[in-house]
Amino acid sequence: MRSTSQMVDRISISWYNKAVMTESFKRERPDGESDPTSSIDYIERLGGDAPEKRGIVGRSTAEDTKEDSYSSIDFIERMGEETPEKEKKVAKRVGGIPASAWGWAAGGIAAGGVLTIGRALEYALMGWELDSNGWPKIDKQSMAHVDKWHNKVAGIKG
Amino acid sequence: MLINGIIKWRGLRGNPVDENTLFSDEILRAFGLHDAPDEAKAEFLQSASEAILTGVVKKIEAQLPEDKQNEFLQLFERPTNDEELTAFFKTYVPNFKELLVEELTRFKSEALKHGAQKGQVDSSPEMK
Repeated sequence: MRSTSQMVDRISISWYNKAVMTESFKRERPDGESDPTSSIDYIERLGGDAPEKRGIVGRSTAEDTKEDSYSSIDFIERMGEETPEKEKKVAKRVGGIPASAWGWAAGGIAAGGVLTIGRALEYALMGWELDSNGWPKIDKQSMAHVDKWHNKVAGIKG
Repeated sequence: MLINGIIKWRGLRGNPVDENTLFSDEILRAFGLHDAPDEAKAEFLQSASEAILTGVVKKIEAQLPEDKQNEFLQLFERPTNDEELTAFFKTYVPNFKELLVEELTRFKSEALKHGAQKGQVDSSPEMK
């Protein structure tokens, strides 16, 4: 028999995911932007943290049977769940700025183009060794190696 | 779990470099993507990169004076060249690199925790 806590979790997960998916509980901010945090606020008002804050992973019961790789989408969405579209657009543009603008690897070339901040982050996510400033180490030889590796293994296209 | 150790590489100084310190598929493994098609891996890495940058943008907004917050967002709403953007960053966000690394670290940490919960990676991973 499920405990009350478990039942609340399931209800919260289903409700939360439905709210997020349908955007039915978004509220309007004064500047007119929708605020996706309202669904979380609502769950908290019901008596607890949003499910993901308790480490519960999943979308809805109907999607529980889908492949595990879907959780990566959930994870990334959760990481940016409180972010209005405006900031997301800014983030995309920041990602396109050449890393050399910061004097980092001037002229550094990633597979098929200039090394951008976004691409550098992709490299760093894959464990590319960081230098003392916290940036991936870049030199001609390692760049060639990284590009070869990413094209072959990670599938990043230039 | 480290990448298979098949990559041989030597640093510029001629010192042998352990390839296992350079690349890791832990992040992909955390989401069960280590055996996924290349396209899925690339898509995930791109999305992850955007999520990190979104976190950076939020931090930038939080640290900017109120009158500069709008200027910051508006700067990206109109055609602006990279020089103009970086000039703004250098003036008002001198700690941009630090913010990037903070968010990158936070993302990796959360991702590896997620992987540990799912049993995909070691439960006490060290940051790579």
